[in-house]
Amino acid sequence: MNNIDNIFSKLKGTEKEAPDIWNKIELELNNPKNISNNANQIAPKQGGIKALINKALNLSTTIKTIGIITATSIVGVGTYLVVNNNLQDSPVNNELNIKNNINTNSSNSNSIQNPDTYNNINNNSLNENLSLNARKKINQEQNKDIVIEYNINDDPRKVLSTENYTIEPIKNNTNTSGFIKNNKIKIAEPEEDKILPTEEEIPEFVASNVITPNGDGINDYFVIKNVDKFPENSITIFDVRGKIVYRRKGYKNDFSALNLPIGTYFYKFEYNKLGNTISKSGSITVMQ
Amino acid sequence: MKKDEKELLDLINLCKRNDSRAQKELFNCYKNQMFALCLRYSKSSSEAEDMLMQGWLRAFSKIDYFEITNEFKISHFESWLQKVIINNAINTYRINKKYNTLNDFEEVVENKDFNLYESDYVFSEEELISCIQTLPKSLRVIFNLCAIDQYSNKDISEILNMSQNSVKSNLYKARQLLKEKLEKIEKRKNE
Repeated sequence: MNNIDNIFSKLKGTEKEAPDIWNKIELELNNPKNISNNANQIAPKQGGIKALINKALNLSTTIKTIGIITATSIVGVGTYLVVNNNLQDSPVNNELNIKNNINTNSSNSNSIQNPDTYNNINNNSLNENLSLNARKKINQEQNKDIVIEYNINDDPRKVLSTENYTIEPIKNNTNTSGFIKNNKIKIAEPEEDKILPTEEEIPEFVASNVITPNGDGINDYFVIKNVDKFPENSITIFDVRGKIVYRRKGYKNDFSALNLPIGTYFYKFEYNKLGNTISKSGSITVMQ
Repeated sequence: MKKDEKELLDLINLCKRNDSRAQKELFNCYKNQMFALCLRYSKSSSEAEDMLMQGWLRAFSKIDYFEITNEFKISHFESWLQKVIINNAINTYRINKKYNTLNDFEEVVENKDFNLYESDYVFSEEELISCIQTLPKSLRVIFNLCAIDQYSNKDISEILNMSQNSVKSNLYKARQLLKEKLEKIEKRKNE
């Protein structure tokens, strides 16, 4: 029977003239929706980045741009942050931008036209600098280039005077062309900016009552919503005969009825809220 | 079209910075190879085209995760790219799996008086690909993974979330069906 495999194994690594679909791919790649989707895995929300830029520029006014600034700023977060809102210039090539940063590093003052908004610059080591090149257009006539660079060894939060943000380098990245050593940053949303639902919106205790442990990603675990809001909790799960099959303090939604027969189980969940111990119980149906 | 190591390395680095020209060049470099791969995993060339596009979009968005080591070789990138595209192809299979019930197969009767392996007919790539494309989807994925891309039974059972025995039986069915089809093609040619 392996002869069949032999006949077909010659298909490995063969080539076949592909249809010209680059245009479609390019369209999708440049689609701002896609870009923000991809970038969301690294950076949280557009609002966070906007706020960061605001703080970085020390501007009290908000940047009132929608399309370009959000799209370009999010593209950059993975490696470097480039905000280009200059409508007169042709779109700035990212690569050129970096090169320019290096070239003007020794004479930074050339690129800074408004030194008031430019604070706490550390440019002692070129290689480990992380540059944030922001360009904001206030009027049609007035263009401002603001380059903020700081040593990655310093705490970036101090430099940007954004204590609320956590900025952490993910890993070092060296380009073969050798002109910049680029540190990736992760910008997390400040706590206060998160819009938490109000008390009424969150039901205090919601638990699913069915689990299907077949690994398809749907109802694989016994999930109690908001379980992380009550770290002091304990759960006990019984089978129909009252035998304890699972017991845990600090439940983390990881009960998957592993190696248990299908059927009905009962749980007793206790948690601590404002000093009072509240106990909830119910049944779980395990299906395949 | 093939690049040497240094050129490829530069291209990858540019792609990590979202350089669209580099992305295009990389795409053109590997599109034919990857299209042949997608053809095997799909039932028609239009489906393969979709698969190719999705796969490349995924590859470009995940290219940051491709780590460049000191002993970089072209084969590293090629196998990474293949893996991304195959995973993407399987993903669409996984997504559609809910709506895909396995067909009942007709009893395969072995044809005793015709032996495929004694004839010296050489099948063309087109014929082989069209044979694979006519297989039911689950059999196609499993046969591709096992026979051509050389995944082990264990890996396949983990990827597709099946038992190893059902992988084996599906492989057997796929081989039987393919054998039948090849025999038909050869008969037609001989007549």
